[in-house]
Amino acid sequence: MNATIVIQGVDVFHGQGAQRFHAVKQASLSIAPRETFGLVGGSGSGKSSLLRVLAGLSPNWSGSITMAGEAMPPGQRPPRAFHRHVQMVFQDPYASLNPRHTVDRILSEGLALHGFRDAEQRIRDVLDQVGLGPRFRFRYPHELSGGQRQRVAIARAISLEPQILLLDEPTSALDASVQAEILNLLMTIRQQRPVTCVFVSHDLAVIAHICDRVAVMQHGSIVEHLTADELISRQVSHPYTRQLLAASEGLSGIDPAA
Amino acid sequence: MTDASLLDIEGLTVSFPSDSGRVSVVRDFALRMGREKIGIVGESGSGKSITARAILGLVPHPGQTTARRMQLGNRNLLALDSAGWRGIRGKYAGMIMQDPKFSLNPVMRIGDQITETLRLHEKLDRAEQRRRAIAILQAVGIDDPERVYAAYPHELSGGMGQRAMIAAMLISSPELIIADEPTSALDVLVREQVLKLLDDLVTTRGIGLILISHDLPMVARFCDRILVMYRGRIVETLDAHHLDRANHPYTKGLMACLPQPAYRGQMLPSLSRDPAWEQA
Amino acid sequence: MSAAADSLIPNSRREARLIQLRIGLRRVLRNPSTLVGGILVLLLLVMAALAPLLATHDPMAQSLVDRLTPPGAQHWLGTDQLGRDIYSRLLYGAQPTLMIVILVIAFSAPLGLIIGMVAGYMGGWVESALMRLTDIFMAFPRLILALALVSALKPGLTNAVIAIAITAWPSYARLARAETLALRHADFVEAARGLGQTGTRIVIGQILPLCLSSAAIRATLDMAGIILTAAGLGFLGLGAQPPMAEWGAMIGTGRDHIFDAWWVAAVPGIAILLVSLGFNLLGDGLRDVLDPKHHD
Repeated sequence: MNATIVIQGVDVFHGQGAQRFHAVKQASLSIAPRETFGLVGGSGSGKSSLLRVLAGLSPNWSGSITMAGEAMPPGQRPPRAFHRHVQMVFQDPYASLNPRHTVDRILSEGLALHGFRDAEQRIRDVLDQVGLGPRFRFRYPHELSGGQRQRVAIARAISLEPQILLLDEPTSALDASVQAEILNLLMTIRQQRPVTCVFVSHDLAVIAHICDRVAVMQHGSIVEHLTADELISRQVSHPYTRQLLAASEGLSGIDPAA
Repeated sequence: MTDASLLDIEGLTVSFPSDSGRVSVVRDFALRMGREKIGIVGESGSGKSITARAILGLVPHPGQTTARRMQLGNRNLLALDSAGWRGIRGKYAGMIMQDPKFSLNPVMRIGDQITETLRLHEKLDRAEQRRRAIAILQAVGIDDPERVYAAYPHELSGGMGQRAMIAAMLISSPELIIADEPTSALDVLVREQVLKLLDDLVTTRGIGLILISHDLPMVARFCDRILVMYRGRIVETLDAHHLDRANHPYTKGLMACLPQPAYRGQMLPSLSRDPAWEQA
Repeated sequence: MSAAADSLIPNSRREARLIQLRIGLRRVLRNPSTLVGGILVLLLLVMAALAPLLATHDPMAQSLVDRLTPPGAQHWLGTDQLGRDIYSRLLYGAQPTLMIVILVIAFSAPLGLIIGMVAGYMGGWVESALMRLTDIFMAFPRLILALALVSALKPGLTNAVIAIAITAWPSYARLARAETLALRHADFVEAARGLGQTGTRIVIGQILPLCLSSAAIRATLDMAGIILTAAGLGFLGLGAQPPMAEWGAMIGTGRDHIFDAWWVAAVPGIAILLVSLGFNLLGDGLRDVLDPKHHD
């Protein structure tokens, strides 16, 4: 099996003792190299919890996970080198950038930490690639719009040339026109780099647009696996997926019947 | 729907002082509506939320509101002082905010928050207040109104909280409800339910609704008319059932950039903004 | 984003910092509190630095003939019970006052910040232990604790500094812990973790910069209290030792003559009042200027 991400029987917990919450139950999936995989569900479905485990940010899990050929140790934080290959973009670009750091510093930190020697050149390249250019390099986050901030967050993630890019609702805090720009940027990055993506969202239209395959989550369990084509042609079997489809018809994307 | 006498606004402008003189965030806004559902759509910075606040006299200091005409029914809103506004808000017009977490008082029981407007505007004994509150909680689709009546906001889910907000708004039978992104903090499935509920209530009770959102298709499903705002101005007024008749390039651009099955995996058209739209 | 911000596009790290500094300075100058407070504090600095140039007499020179002379042409602010020129002593007295303030802040603010940030970031028993320790120090009234410490050590300027510093750090620890708790799970801290950063680096690189502005505000507000505590110790004879000119000690010696020679105690008293007021205004103003909720 030649998959980049293999997840088998993974349980994720929040908290400890009596307050322990079983956020993800027995999740299993495997994601092929250069695939973009969608995780869909409502709030509390466990999709973000699973993503944070994959990002190495939440050690409270059990089961087996292999990322880019390396097994993740359950119950502990992964070694630094892990983060060189696995990067994450957060939902809220207003919260994911340190307000006291310039774009330059935000981008330099990861490069310095992982011993990149050509940091200077990389920062310039990556700013160009996310469509910001050098004039944004020494700005502070509060001087940027939401879309520009999300571009900085994406630049930070791809500057390390990760093999795996994890995206936690990267467009849901943005306006529709900015969402389109960020989705376009992500598709360009995917074409130019050999990167495997996991895209978490509640928005089926966005998921259908950018993903190859999808897992639908409800109450911490994966209830259905679908290809994007099945999603678009509504060949779904689980009632929860149907509900999601019905809701997203009106909320995003234009109902073809209208 | 033909009775266009509920709310009549003309030349509404809201400005804030800045380093380079006063900046108008809403310019020359006009709306005549009856007991119908109006959607105001725009991106962040379009001035849609501040418009809503201006209609209820809630523009924060140091903002300044001016208008040629602003009437709710036969009441002239321009002549109101702050006491006058309090007489309008809650009784004749109410607002539902984005996140019930922030708009409900965390240290007050839901029941007390719902009956607050009753206490303010009507003289009723406590038993009658309670009866009315339970009835309205039932009307907003809460199955166990007794529990919710005695609960604190943190004991409720987001959807429940928003229903409680709607109940608090409805109890004094207002003529106009302004809902500012009432569902964007909610789970997708709950959004649908809350919107349906709001739709039913305003239709059956004959309340005028202004629904403010960045989500054009959602607004189109629930409203009769849509005002599209861009940088503080209305650029286009649309019949909600005929979005395809949109004329303005901004409106068209907004619709085009939504992901659709037809464009799957392709680049989405990006919205190129024309400075002329700000003058239009 | 105003047009003004657009015209200032920095091209290097240095330039970015300068522009930030300029924007900050402009805000400080526009705020009346920081302006008045800043001028008063600046005055103190000038007095301390230029005391030898501004003084009209030797602050230590006694002249029993001239003792308790009221303010006049010869002695602008009068003389004390040993005939020393009060104006000159006031100028020289600014030096120990300023030194106490600087040393106390330099010692207590970093200590408190480190303790608070470690407690907030680590959580668990480390947090409990550190914060209980903080509570213990906070439970004593500052002056009493300082008094006890100084009398246990040995009266003198250095020990006064140590004593005041030991009583001053807990408020910084509390503040830093509260900020750290709020920031510990912020997305940008998670993002830093996602880059591979760990404990110390996150605390220093991500959290510290956000604690600094509130610590700076706290420090300026604290300075008034420190001056008063130092003056209190001086007044009780536990701070600077004679014949050194120190404002608190000056009031202490003036106490005996308060009815027949009011200026001996009143002049340093007014100086303490003005400088405390200056630091307080500066702190208040800084809170307005630095608190992100007030602009943007």
